[in-house]
Amino acid sequence: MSEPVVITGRSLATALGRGLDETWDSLLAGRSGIGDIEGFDASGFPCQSAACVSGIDEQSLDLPRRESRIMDLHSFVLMKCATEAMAESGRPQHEDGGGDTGFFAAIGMVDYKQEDLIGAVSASRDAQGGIDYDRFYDQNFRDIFPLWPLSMLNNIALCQVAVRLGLRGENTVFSPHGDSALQAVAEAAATVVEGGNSAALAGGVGEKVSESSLARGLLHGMLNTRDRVDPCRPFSNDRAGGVLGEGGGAVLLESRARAEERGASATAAVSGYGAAFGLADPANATTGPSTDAIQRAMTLAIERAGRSPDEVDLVIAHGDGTREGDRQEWEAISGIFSRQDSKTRLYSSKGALGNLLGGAPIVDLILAERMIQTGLIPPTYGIGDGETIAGSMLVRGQPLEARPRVVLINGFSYEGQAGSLLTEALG
Amino acid sequence: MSRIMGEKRRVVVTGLGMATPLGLSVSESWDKALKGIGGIRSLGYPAAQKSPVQAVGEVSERDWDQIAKRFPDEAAAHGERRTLFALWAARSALDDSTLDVAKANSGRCGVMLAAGAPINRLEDINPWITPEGGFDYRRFGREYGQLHRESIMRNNTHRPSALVAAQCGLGGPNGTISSACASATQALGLAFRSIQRGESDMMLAGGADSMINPVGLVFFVLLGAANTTREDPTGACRPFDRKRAGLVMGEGAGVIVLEEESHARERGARIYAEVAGYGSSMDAHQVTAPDPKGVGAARSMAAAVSDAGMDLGEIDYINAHGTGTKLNDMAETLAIRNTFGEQADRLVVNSSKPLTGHLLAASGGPEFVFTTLSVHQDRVHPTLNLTSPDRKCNLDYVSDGQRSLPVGAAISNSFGFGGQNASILIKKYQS
Repeated sequence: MSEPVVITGRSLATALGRGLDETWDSLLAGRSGIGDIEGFDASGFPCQSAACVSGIDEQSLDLPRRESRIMDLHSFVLMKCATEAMAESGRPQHEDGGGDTGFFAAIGMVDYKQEDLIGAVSASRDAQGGIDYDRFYDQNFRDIFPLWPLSMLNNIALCQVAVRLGLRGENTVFSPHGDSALQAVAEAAATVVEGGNSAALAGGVGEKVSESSLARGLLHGMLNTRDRVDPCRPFSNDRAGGVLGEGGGAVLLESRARAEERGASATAAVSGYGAAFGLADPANATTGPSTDAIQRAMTLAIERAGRSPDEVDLVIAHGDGTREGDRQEWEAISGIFSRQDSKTRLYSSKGALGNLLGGAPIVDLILAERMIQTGLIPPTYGIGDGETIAGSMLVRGQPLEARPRVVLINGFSYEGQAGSLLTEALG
Repeated sequence: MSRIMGEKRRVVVTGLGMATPLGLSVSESWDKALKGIGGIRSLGYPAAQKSPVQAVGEVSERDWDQIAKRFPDEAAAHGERRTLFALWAARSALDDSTLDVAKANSGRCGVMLAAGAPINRLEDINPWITPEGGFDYRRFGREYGQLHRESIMRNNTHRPSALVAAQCGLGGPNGTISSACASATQALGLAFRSIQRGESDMMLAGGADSMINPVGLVFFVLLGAANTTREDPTGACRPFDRKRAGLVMGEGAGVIVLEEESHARERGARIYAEVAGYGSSMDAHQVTAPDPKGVGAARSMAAAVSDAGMDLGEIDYINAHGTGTKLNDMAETLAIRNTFGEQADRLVVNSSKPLTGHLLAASGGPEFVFTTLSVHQDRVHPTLNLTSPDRKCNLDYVSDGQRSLPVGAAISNSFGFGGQNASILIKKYQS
């Protein structure tokens, strides 16, 4: 076996806190970050709940206006998490001129802000209230800030971090959902193993909760439109859909030997990855991956880590609280961990954090590392005393002292992509 | 971790598919490319008569109808141009490869596609503007169901790769790359790695993109990178020429079947070429312009050569990113010079963008197809419109008709806005 790839720096941002400690303490205490949407008037929407991040902006990051003008929440979160993960690793920022520090990130859909375009649109209206494109093209499009197009590109957030931190190595931006984040971690780790990068950041950020992301979630049929109290209830019998969550995270990955060489400490390694595709409902392109695809991704991740299902202590599920999504995932999980005496536990963070889409699995990876360190699994939020489809596997009610050492993390798209990543305690 | 243990598996090209302004058939498009017949014209639709951008590479209406006819369900349900371009190119590549997916192990066949900036529509804003010039979020919340099917709010970037997989029955790894104009080359690079590492046996890789829509038309004008020539659209895109004046957008898709060598050989597949190396880098310079010295671009090319275990002197041809902007072409020329040193003078270089326009996130797709065909056939297509060379762009650009020369190995470059670079190395296949 080649050298393990370990996590030497990490940072996250969620609705429960600006950093890992706050988020972790709140999860253990059974708190949720989901509440009423306050950033805009969502009262017309059939879903008015989300898990929103606060306090991460140009001021808190001390960014000059020329940089922040083309940034939005996703860029601020990525900048914050990447910078802190890098700093926490203690790795010299410009070692080898940054030439071999890579960066792989998953970035959700990037939506325009109404205020960036509304002036140009208003000025281009014709007498009937439609768009007069002659007027738009003649001059009104010039009302748009000239660098606005850059703010619409998924990759600019990654590039801004690269400029700031001097990262010059191998890189990719994946989009837009949870499977993409696992791919980012897997590619980052693979470049470290193969020598393309001596270290690599892997990050993921979700979408800002806005009228656009809310509309998209609703049009894809992923959101709870029924209730406002604890709307996301993973694996619960009365689950009724997901909730959008803001935030994300980043980890710095290095080979264990390199980390030890420079005296950096590490608790966990990233050891296996699997990916597969298959639609839960071939007639509906947005019902998420099928049981078969999920099972294949999980099995590959376990096998490639050289493990067997018996050795997996915990599955951090995609568990987004959708009717069909959770059913497909549970069938996949129960198919793999079917033994009556299975000690494998199940957890989902989405009842408390919402669905961070491209940010979710990175946050789950950082939480997994903390679970390995502390021996504790937080209770899955949102299910109260109700019946679930997941039986005794699901950790609920109180934190469980289960001392997990091998943790499998799932991340899916709406469109049928399934990813699974194995992380484990260093021996 | 999935890792390359010992010997890396070899990866070959067995199928090519395209939908570009040159047409829907790879062989006809290649023939046009060699003859120097480009696909850039004046913008077709009347509503955009005053658009500052007039020269574009559009997929013709006739070709579009043919695509929509081939995928009627998808055309009706998803409509988005890019998704349909992706489906067409993927299907064509798969047909070209003669691979029978039903007989293959579907779980080891995957998809990796580039996705560009989603479509922003003024009509998604206009109906909800308040008399005071604000946005009526409350009313929008009740009426978002009226959004157009091409709206960003209906289309996730994952859609093309998911629909291609569903259509073609591919159950393996599936991903979407959003690294701006470096996306398709990165998708090909990551697909190559996936096969090398043993995670898959076959990957459909490349990309589809179109920004020929009302807001997309002014995208690069705002950034100061667009060509705004109103006369002579066919001469608008002039990479490495003294009179180059900005990029010309194209649209379409290029999708390629990459396959593990023994997998291809066992089924008696035609092998066009071998993918031998991939490299990527970040400029970390500034997000608004490429590093003027092309340092990042140079590292990406050098990484691809070193990944292939080859010497710089073994590379014969570079299909340049060559956008026809002042900044890119100069920086790329310097990057090639700095990477190849003395060997730079024995390289031939061209750009495919005057033929198809800049396919943006997808550009690496069709350019990979052309680069592969050059390696396969020892012929390199000309760089159209390079009639008054910029003295500072001092490489051997193929400009005056096609050139025949032995092409043992070639690199295709793609550089993205923001400073992401990717290079992929294709060489002659020898068993």
